[in-house]
Amino acid sequence: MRDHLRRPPANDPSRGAYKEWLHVNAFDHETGVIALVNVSVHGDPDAQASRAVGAALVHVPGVGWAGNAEVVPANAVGTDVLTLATAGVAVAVDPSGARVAARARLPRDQVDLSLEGVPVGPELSATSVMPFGSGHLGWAVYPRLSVAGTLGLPGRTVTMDGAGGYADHNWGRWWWGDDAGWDWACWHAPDGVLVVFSRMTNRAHTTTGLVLLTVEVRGRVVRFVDDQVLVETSGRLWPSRRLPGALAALHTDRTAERLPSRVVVHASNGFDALDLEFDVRDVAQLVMAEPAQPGFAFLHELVGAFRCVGLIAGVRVDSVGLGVVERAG
Amino acid sequence: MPDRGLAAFVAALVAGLDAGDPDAAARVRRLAGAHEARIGLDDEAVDVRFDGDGRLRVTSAVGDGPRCWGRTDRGTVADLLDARLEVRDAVLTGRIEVVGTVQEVAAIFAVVEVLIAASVRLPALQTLADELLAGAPVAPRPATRASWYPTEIGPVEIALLAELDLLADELGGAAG
Repeated sequence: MRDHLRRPPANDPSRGAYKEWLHVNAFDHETGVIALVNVSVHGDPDAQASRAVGAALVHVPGVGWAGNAEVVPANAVGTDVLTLATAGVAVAVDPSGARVAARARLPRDQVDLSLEGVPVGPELSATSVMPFGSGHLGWAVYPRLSVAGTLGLPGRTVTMDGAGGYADHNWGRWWWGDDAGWDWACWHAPDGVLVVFSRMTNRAHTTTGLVLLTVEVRGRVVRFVDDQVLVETSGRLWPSRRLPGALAALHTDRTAERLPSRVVVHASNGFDALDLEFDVRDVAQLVMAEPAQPGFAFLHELVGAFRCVGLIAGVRVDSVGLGVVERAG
Repeated sequence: MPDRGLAAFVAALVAGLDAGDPDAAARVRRLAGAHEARIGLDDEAVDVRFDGDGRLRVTSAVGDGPRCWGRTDRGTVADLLDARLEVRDAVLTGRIEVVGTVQEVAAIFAVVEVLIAASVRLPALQTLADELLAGAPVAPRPATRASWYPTEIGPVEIALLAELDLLADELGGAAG
């Protein structure tokens, strides 16, 4: 889990296309609450137009989304070895791998969130860098987390203790608006099952590049790749929350973005197998703007509950839990 | 109302666009053409137009004014920028009012689109947005979205809209 930010050096000719973020998910199986915290930087960190986005979204079953996305100049973002912070949202990863912290204080949205995760699972993968759009995308996945903390939300406070957690780090060079996208998912069950899915796509999600499904069952890790993984979607849902507000207002045509209400994954490599069914409860849409040139991308966060059954590294799996599917393009 | 006053705010907006994105500024002038419109924010209103040389003319609103007008309040702008309100709901609930011919109304919204799109890359416009937000009232998010349909519609019409994929989501469709 040793990692570091990939800020572009001063002589990097591609620094205008720089992107980087730290991301944390927390799953409270007791209440069904799912939290997403992400701090990202878009564009040359020293350019006036470049932006940083601090997003903290919490989904409460039966209530909906709380939180918001805060957009600030990129040169105002706080950084450390493995920390990104806007004024109201921060994600910090201990470079030694001992813990992950997420903090959000958004008084206009009555959100005050403080979470800390400690690794309880094995290392999931080596850092990977893959082609993406006009450039590349790097990805480091951190081990499964146990999360504790409090979420102050409008009208309620949720206390997490032993909640499930996921964290990762992305970086690279591309322009939002490139003909590129991805599907990503993280499913966590309280009995120690973590499933992480990713596949690179084009912007319309009609072509698929590298597919990877990583399953961790109580310390044992199995990976499925490419045609060992079949994903089916059905039903229709629309975003109930769209962020940030100015970009959402600009793209009212994406209000009725069609997204699946159900995602089914079948994976088999001849030895191991997993069938997973995910029912989507709600969707949030984040609009990403390219600060250096015209271009936008749309990230959809689909939250819900899943059940999976299978045989992983000789261990029978029959688990239920919570998850997030992200569709970007 | 921005502290500097609405006329100065509009002038700063156009000046920022002229300096930072001349192509977008030219698009705004093309969209506006020779039309004059009255813009209202909170309890202040101004009449705006571009003269024959493309210079912005902003005057305090007096009397009946232009037939094309739009108005809102700073709380609505803040709710939109803070993602507490969708444009659709702001229009349906009367928090944004725009009056004019179809072409005039379309042009007003197109001008707003150009300004927001350009503001992504223009710190000067982002600073103006921050200025507008500072001190704006914060309202709780509405629990439900505004109804797309002002009156009840019959099952035959619903079936037809669904068949054409034009049904608003509140009735189980995707449109709206």
